[in-house]
Amino acid sequence: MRALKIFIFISLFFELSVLQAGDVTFTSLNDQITLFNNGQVQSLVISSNSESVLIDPINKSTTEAIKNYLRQNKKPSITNIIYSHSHWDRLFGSTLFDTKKHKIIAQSACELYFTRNNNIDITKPNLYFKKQYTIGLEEEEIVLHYFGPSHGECMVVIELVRAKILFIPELISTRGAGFPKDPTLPFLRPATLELFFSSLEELIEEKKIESFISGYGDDDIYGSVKIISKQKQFWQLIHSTAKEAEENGLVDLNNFIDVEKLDLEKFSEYNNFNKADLINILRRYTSFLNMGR
Amino acid sequence: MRMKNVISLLMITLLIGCGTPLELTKVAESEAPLFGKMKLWEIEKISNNLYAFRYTFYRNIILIGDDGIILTDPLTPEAASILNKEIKKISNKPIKYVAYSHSHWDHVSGGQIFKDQGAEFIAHEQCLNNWLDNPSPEVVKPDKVFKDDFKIDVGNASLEMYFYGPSHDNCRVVFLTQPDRFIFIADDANPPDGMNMIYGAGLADTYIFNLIPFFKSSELLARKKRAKGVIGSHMSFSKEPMNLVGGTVGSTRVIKEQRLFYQLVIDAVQMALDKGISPELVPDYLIEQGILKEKIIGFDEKKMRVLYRRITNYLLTGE
Repeated sequence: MRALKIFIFISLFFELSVLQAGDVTFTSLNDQITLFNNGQVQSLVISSNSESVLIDPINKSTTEAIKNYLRQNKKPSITNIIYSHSHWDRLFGSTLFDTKKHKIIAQSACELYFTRNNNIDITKPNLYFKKQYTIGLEEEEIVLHYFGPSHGECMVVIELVRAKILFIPELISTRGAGFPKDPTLPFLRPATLELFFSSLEELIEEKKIESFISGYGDDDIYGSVKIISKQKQFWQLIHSTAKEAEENGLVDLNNFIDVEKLDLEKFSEYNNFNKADLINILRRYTSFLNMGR
Repeated sequence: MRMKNVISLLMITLLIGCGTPLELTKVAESEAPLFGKMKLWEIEKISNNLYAFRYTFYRNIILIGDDGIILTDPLTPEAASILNKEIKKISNKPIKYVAYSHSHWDHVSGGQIFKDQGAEFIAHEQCLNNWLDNPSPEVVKPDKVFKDDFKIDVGNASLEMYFYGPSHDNCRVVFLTQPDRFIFIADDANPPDGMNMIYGAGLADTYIFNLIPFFKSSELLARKKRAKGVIGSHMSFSKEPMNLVGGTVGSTRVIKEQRLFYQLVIDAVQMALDKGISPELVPDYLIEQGILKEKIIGFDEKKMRVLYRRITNYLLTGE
């Protein structure tokens, strides 16, 4: 209900026009920003009068659909491609771009994955940055922020300065704070996760940002930034629960916690609460407490 | 003698050499048990220059040379304190160096007792970054870091450290002891068998894309340096989980087996994906098909589900 209210509130400021092309839906968020969604994942294309910037070339058919959309709507073609992180499942459309003509941008920690784990179906970036990178697109300004490892080694948060919107590809859903989609947490970096969230909160506070868009295809378009703080609290709760369980001798030889002895009430307020998932999530954290990573 | 015969003779000699079980002498052990007859800790002598210290399920190695002692991974403050006392009963040489195998706290905590005696701490440069990102008061930061390889010398014994890229964490190195030529790879390749079910099936902090190249480089090192065997960083099991064995020393084939373990799991998941099995159903499919059930020693369905899921994620994302 709260998400709906936020959506209605924001809709008053942004006129949304929705267009369907094949499997891909295009939603114009303002005169420069278009959200595209292929049913599984979503991202943004931002245009000025002379160029367009694409965040994540998801796959070939989605990228083709984006190119068509830009042509049909008399928007300029794509000059810059931003990789939000190194995961292939958001980048398979990248071979439709040429490093001689296009700027392909990623955070420098991604380089390890692109160079050491070569995939011929992924075009390697030709521009790496460390902390921050800005692209000016007339009135809109795109700022890429790196706050350390969070979801994988190199995920960035993308700020759209004029629109006062953040694009956060993974970790946070606009539907509200909740359990992660994969409880084995394959890409989570617990050692730097809190710093990631705190840095994000600082940015939100400094720039007075009120809403964000996620990379999940089944999410509502906008979410309140309050969800980000709530999601941070979720991870803090997981951390402190694992720590207490260790101190109280509730962790077995395989690092699993006997969840039956925990107060599960405090977890039940989060979306997608599931006891079996909680066991796996806590297992990752007991292992983090042992290893520091 | 024809060249073919010379090679055959050499190979037979080599095989006999490798096959001879190494006699380990127990130098000290705790009174307190860990499990059954297994003691809480023990020190075994591998040669005049080389000892192994096991504390609970963890093991490190100790090299004693004319000029002093090299310790690896202090493990925990309790383990380091026991080791400090016991080592003084074995040698009066100074503890000159502590070498870290990787950055995980469960292996590298407790070094302060050796730092206080003037030991110099050495690690791969990326380990230091990890400890700066998330410091632990129990981990002594290294005095010296290196990029590719490093050698610590104490006269007639030395420890060689080789970095082959990220693997289990982003700074694990392979240890090679000299002059005894034993290899030590923390958290992997534990004797007696590299096809044993792994402990952490979620492969937390593991750089899967470089696991196979890492083990291939380690195998090449073992061949090039004519390594005599492998020292396990953890206690292991024989045939059945909970049938615990010390696993102090084993053949270098364990390194290859460990590579094959990961390779087989990756191949199995790839095969399922190629058959069009949807990613979320891959673990169930492979379990139902009984893939690898006969090959992995101590096959644990619950853990394999997690491992299959992790590898599926890896094959879809590259991480």
